[in-house]
Amino acid sequence: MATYTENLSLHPNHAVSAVLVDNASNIAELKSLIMNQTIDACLIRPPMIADRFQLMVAANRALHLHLQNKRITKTLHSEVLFSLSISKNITDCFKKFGASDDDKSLIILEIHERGQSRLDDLVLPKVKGELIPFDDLPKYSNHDLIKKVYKIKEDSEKKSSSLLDSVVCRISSQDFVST
Amino acid sequence: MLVSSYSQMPDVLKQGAEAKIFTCDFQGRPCIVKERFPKGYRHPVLDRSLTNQRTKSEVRSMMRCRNSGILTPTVFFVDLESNKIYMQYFSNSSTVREHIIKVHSSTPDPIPALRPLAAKIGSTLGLMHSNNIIHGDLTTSNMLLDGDPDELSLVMIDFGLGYTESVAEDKGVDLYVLERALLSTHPNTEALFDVILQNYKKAYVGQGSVEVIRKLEEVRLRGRKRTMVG
Repeated sequence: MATYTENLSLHPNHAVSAVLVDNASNIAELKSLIMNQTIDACLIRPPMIADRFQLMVAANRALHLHLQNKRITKTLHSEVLFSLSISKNITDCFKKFGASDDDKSLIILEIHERGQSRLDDLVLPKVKGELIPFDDLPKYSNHDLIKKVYKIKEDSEKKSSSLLDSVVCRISSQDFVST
Repeated sequence: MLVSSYSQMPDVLKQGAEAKIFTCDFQGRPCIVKERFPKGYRHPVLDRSLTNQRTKSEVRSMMRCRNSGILTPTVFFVDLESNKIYMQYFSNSSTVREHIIKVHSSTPDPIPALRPLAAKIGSTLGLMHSNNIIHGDLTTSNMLLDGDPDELSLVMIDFGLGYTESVAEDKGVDLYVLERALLSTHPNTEALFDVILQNYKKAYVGQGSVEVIRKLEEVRLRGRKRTMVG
């Protein structure tokens, strides 16, 4: 099975399920299904993701804010996109991290109560594209783009941190650290 | 919906006056949680605000260090409601304090063996201070050696009293606190502090270190607090 599932550490009754899709041909359609709430998930651009850990950090943050009624965006899943980005501009976050109509690859991510994923039954039948093993995710990431979007300066920080850890710190401290 | 957060009973690692620390797992990575609990002796409104500010400023200082190339724990999550910081746990590490004590008990002439470590501490602090990061509680317990101690992978931790300040006074006090901490926990290590200072000066970007050392000498004479006479 191509679906990757991992429990969320902060709220262990919840989990993330995700698939990686390449050669997708109907992203626009999937987006409209999300908008009219037929399916509940978010569509993420793989080049922006350095590692699945980055997704899990953002998902933990989004779910936590959701359960505390503190989320900024309209739904739990849009909050994942908002959490991934260090920008406070929601449109900007969606543009940078959300899959766009002419993208070829995408990650479909769902946060759900444990054992209650509807990704396989409800979402995947609607996807036109090729399912890729989720372990291949790093092959799709674009490190130069990630550095640019997360404002990671090459020289000094490289000594103290991997790219992934730099990204993770920025996600977790975005509310009160300006970069 | 069942909202049971923070899974299993955590393993409390340490408890101080300001916060307690426990370990857990964060998406497969070893994690420590630093929780600043409410202080009953303070007015609740003041307590909330102070605790909140300290949590934020601790993370800010860690981020500034990271940006300047100084190793600090990776922050996984910050909960400003309950004032918890989830960060990387260096499970295979020892504090500099433990390391110095170990070398002292196993080596007849420990000072030469500890010189490279002292040099590393000095250059790290020089870099930190030239980026205007004040640690606020420099002790050998707040520095970790990750992995093999000989690799000198020095991680600075506990920025709970950290802040940003450019004046030499605060940097001098920071060094003074370290000197007192070093000499009181590890007797006969004056030579090591000299090595720390030499490398501090070398690593300090710009001319500022002269002024800091001058302040350190001044602070040595009067102690950490400023004299309020005259």
